Amino acid sequence: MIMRVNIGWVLAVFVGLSNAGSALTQERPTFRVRADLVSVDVSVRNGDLPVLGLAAVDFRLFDNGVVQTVEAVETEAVPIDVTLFHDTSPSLAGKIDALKADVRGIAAMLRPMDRLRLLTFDLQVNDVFGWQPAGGSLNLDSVKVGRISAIYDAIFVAMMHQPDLDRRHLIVALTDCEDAGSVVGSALIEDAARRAEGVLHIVKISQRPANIMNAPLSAVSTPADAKGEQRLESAAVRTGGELHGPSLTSRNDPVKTFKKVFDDYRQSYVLRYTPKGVVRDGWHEIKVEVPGHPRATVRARRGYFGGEKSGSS
Amino acid sequence: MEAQRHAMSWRLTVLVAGAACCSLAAAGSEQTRPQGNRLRVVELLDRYERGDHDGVVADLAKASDIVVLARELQGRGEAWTTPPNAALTTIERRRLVVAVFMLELAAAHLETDWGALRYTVEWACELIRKGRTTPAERVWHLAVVALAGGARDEHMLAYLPLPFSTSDAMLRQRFTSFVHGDHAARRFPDEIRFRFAETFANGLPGLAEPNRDTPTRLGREERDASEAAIRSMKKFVNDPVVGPEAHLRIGHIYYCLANPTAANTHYAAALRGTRDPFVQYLVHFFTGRMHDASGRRQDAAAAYRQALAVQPFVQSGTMALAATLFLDGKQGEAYDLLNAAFAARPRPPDPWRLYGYGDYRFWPELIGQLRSQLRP
Repeated sequence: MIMRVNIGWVLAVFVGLSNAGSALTQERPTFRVRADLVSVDVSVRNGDLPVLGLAAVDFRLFDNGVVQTVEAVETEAVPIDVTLFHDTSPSLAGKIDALKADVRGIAAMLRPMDRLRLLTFDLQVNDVFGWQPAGGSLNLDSVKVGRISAIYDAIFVAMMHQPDLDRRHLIVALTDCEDAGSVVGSALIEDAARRAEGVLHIVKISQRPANIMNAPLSAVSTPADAKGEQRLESAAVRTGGELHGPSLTSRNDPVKTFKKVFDDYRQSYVLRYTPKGVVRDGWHEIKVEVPGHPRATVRARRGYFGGEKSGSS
Repeated sequence: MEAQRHAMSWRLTVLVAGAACCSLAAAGSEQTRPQGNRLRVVELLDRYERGDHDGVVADLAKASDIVVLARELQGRGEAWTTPPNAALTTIERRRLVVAVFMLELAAAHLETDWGALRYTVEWACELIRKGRTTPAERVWHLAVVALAGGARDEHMLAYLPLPFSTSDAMLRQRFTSFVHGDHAARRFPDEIRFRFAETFANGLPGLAEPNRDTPTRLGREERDASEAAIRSMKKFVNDPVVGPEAHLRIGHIYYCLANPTAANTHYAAALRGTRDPFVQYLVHFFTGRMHDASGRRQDAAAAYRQALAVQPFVQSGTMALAATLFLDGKQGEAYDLLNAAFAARPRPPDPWRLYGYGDYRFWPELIGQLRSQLRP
């Protein structure tokens, strides 16, 4: 069984969800109580096919080894915040139009309830249009070839996002994984993944040499990072995502790979529970099982930190 | 570091190849003629002279046949500066128009085409040097230095030993005759920034900044080069214009050499002598980075806050402070900080990102001055 993760420790206001298995609607809950609530994104698949129709009783969830009561299971109805990070390092020179077409193709897959944010870089990490509801027109005018390859910075920004309680967060990074010029290091990304309220997927795009013969170099000198890709993969796995490397025979198509990731994510389950019988603070290791489907691949985040302050936003 | 060195050597190959191609291109430039719907240089020059700066720049940004356009400028630009019966003032004004137009073209494609366009910039330099020196010409040379810094084109800013051997005298001459800093300094010997830029370029490619993940590991050669860069930069520390920046750059080299005591001495001197927010921000930011690399997170956070007090919402300081907050378990505060910075409009330029590009930080101001000068 592959164990990946996806959770958020929510120390905040929450909703009295009485019916296990009920889907959250787009409307904000009107009845809220304060509680320590944990939500875990769980993907259950048999091969390439999702296992659908599971209810709370079908899951066994362990928090630091203690079985918990799953209070609610939600599926496709939960709106998704998608952070798309597209590498725009100098090797993308001459391919910006193709990139924009990819972004539009990806945006078209989102449902009306979802939101999209696009991160790229030029001389800095660029939040191209902020959080935008799906279906709107995308202003991609500011997307251009970057001077830097601040992959860690962009992923750090993405992982700091704290989605509203009734939403979840998918981060898809399209990158060659070769960072140059980030403020933060790869070790921080690995650490941040343990606290991220989102699932990180890294789609490795091998950028073919392009017209960069005349391009200036990045001016920021940061040391080469031999462990960078390994740590990025580790970060993705910690959140319940994965690194999608190119196959032996073909490169990753950004749109097709995004579709696969997005379909899997929206068909995954969101389990919510209030931890009981465990110390609130510190690291909580999570394990999720689906006893009725012993051969299924179950992916969920590997754990979370309890007790820290949540954002004020 | 290795990657940076590799990139520099790769870049050198590109410049040599570019120089050779440029010789060929110059030979054929007279035969270049506009075709189809593509931009025509004379029309663009006319529009630019009439004051349609934004419109021309927008067209240049969209253009894809950049090298052809530059060649056409070389082929037709000088004739455009000398219309029949033109007075000297008209000719001088038009020379400035052509020269500034060339900078606009280079700036619009700096990220992708500088290696090809630098030769036409130097052609424009020759053109503008045909007249008497004027205040506008000084600004023009400063703008070239800014762009060359932005392109990390150290060979355009300083005489550097040719790191390749060639028996081709023309190629050798072509390569070394492009030291724009020197052309500019001969025209304006009192302008300290030309010599300062030369010293800055001599210090390139610079050293990698050590961080938490990767401590400093330097070889003898790198240490010797750094010491030489410090000696050159020290000649400027008493200058009222560039002295504080010289202190900042010396401090940064010491930081990269893992000598925080010497770095702090120069950072303190930089702060004492300046009100330049670029210098002030970087002194605090680099101080934070040094604390960070030593594991002193509280001190690092305090320094980053000082940097952000000088220039709010700058991304490098925001990111660095958010990282320290995050490591202290204050994820919510880190989130709020990042959100506020990304919401800020206009997005402030980031001194850390600009630091390695020399005078490129002055480009917006310089091109603004040149446009004002040309406004009818």
